Amino acid sequence: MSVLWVLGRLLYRAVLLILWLLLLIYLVFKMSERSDAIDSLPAQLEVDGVVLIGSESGIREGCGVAVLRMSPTLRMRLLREGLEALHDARQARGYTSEYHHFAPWQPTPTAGDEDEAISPIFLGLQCVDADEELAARIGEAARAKGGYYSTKPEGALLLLPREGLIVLGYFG
Amino acid sequence: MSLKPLGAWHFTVGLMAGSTLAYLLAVALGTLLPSWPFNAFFTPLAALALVLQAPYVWRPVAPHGRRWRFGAALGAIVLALVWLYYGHGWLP
Repeated sequence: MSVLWVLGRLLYRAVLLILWLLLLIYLVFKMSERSDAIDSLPAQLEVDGVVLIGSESGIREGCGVAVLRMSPTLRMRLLREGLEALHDARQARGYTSEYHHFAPWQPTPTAGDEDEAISPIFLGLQCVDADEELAARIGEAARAKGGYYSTKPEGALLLLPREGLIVLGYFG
Repeated sequence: MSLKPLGAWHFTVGLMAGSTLAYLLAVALGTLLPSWPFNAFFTPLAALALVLQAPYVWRPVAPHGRRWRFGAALGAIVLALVWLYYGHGWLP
């Protein structure tokens, strides 16, 4: 058995391992991105699952969006109590900094300047090339009654109880 | 100088094949269940990895075929659990 054959075989095994490790690293990144998105929400917002989480990062700036399924408990609470249910939901559960502090909640529909306030959500959806139907569904719901939104530095959070969605977007 | 096909290596290759195949199947399911991340770079890379593993897929060398199959089943199950957790897992 020649040395070259053995070296070739070792190289083949190394390539297999490297490709697999790259996939594992990517999956670990996606899990940490998911965990970070949930940590960025106030503790009062219970989540039931993930619809879409995506981001794009530059050297210092980034953009992205997290579309999560709202828990049935939160959905019922919002439909029953409205804005009052969100009175204390102002600080991200995983962070104590001012950057992760949300402004007082407002009811939808958004229009004019308010549309500008939740622009990080739509920019985030564009940024991750989100499914058009999902983006349109979120846009329509934001411009109708029944939802709630809040802003934070370089970001916005939108709650759509009728759609059962929590949408967090950031840009900057 | 030789490189003997060790059982541990066949188990590892099985693990890689099972998890990569499960990842690709989950991506395919992603057209129905969009919560699983599709990535334009990693998905073709995973497909390439699976193609490169083809010799082990069609010819798991005896007596290590059983280890390969065990590795593949374990890899596929773990990846399926990760997929379920990502989309529907328990959240605080």
